Amino acid sequence: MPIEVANLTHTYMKGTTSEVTAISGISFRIDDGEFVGLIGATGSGKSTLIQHLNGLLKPTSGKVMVDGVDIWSKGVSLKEVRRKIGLVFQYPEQQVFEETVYDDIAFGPRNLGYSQTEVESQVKKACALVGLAPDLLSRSPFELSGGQARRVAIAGILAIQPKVLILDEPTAGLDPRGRTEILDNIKALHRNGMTVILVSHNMDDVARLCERVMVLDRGKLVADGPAREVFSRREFLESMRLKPPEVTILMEKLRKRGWAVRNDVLTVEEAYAEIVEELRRKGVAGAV
Amino acid sequence: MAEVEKTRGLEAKGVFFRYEVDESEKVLALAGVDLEIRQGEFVVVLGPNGSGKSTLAKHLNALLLPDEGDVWVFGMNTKDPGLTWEIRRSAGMVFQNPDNQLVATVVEEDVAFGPENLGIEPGDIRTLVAEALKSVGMEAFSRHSPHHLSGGQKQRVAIAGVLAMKPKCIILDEPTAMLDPSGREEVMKTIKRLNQELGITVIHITHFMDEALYADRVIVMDKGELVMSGTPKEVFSQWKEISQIGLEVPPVGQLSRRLWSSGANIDSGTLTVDELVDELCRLRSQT
Ligand SMILES: Nc1ncnc2c1ncn2[C@@H]1O[C@H](COP(=O)(O)OP(=O)(O)OP(=O)(O)O)[C@@H](O)[C@H]1O
Ligand SMILES: Nc1ncnc2c1ncn2[C@@H]1O[C@H](COP(=O)(O)OP(=O)(O)O)[C@@H](O)[C@H]1O
Ligand SMILES: [Mg+2]
Ligand SMILES: [Mg+2]
Repeated sequence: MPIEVANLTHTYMKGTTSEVTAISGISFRIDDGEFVGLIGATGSGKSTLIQHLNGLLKPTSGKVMVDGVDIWSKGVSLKEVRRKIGLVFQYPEQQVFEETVYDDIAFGPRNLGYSQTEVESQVKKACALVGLAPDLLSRSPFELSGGQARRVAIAGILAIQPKVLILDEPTAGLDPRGRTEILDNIKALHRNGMTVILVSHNMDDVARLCERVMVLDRGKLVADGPAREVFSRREFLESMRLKPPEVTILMEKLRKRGWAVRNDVLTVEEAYAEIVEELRRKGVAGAV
Repeated sequence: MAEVEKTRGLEAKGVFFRYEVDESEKVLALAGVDLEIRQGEFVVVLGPNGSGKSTLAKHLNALLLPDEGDVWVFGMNTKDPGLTWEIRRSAGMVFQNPDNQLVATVVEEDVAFGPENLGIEPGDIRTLVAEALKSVGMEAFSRHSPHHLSGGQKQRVAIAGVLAMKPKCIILDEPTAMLDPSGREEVMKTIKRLNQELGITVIHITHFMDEALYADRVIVMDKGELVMSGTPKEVFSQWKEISQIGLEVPPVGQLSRRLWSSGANIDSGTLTVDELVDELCRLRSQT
């Protein structure tokens, strides 16, 4: 189910003295099976934009089309849209309503009318994907550490098995292992056909996982292209309060010192390979 | 005695703490923590989710009291109810979410909130607020609405709110988790400066391993216990333990170690981009 956004604008509190145009004139298309990163400074409009993609916010002007149909046209069930396009909120507390962690994660599948055994199996699967220990299931969602609450919020959306998964800063507050494991599991779901849109301030994660990166700046879409291309534009990113991954910066600095290495390296592995190559070329002893 | 008290920083001795989930179930969050933090020290706290970092932080400003053991804040035992306010004033806290820490409609009113609660004279409050905003580089925004600030600016205002109470220590529980890269750097540089210029003790909790490099000392929590303590270099050189716990060495550190272990003659403990660039250029010119 491709998502198409055409000339989308959203103004909060329209018509009052405190009106804010959070996003304006945004157009793009996301096809089935893409893994897209959305980056931008705080307040650039990321959360506002993605809440339009499953009809949580209504455009002030412009259109959101899913499978070629304007989701705000007559006869479209937004409930149906939201079961296919799952959104994990930026703040876990925006998403927690139930008495126990189990009920919280089970909320979605129950709502979809799953049988009790199906619900149970979905909850179990989702917990495994986010590394949530089973002994937390009987607890109140308010009796968790920050990172545990984050995992519950992600599990709740995974449990409805959406076709499109949108994550709003999902790894904020996760420990390094949790971050890597959860994102790797999401990458595996993506390989099985899920479309993923990842909003993140963690440039290493975006660089590692996303094929395509979109950049928002003060409500406008200012770049949209392959991750490698976007992250090699350091000065442009810095002017948007962003930054390429550390290893990308490292390679740029080596180039300035005369190294013949690529400037579009995104991961530790790639940087390692480039550096070893150069050392070999220069015949440095001991460089394997 | 009074002389000794003055130089005491923050101390935890044999601290156990359990959250009561219901009558039958308790969660052991701190399992015998011993910790001493010197006045003026910059300490970064790392540890996996649920390891007890936030619980420990709340013990250091008397938001929680130990079930067993004691916590002293600049010589004041947190169990003494008469000292609670003085403890909270001298060890202020900043939290993760920049949006729900600021309550007023104007920045300077927000920063004045703490001193007002302490019953300080309005004239003195104005001075405290101006000083605090200046210390975080936000003086130009004193009459702005907090809603229109960037995330990093909001967090700096939250820090100013703590500073206006003239604390000796600031405890920050993941203040950078929701910030863009520039905001994160802004906040880290601000707290480093407060530490160096004003001598404020800093306890900073984070999941960003590279932020540990700002610290004098890194401590690592795991399952309610303090399991490692040392300079950033010392802690990250124990890469096996670090990864067993579920943490990781920052990317540049991972790269240095890989290059070193495949035979490149560089310092395997190099953690920053500039240091690694220098190491590699030195190596490359040795031909
Ligand atoms: N209000 C609460 N009621 C019951 N248990 C709690 C409560 N808050 C935390 N816990 C439990 O106490 C333990 C320590 O939690 P704490 O919040 O201190 O962890 P943390 O190290 O700050 O984790 P994170 O990195 O996720 O923020 C965890 O097992 C957690 O589930
Ligand atoms: N519910 C709201 N009411 C009014 N203004 C809002 C609301 N949510 C966001 N904004 C404003 O819209 C702009 C974009 O915010 P947001 O979409 O949250 O950005 P991001 O997710 O990139 O940090 C900001 O100026 C923000 O203050
Ligand atoms: Mg947002
Ligand atoms: Mg915590």
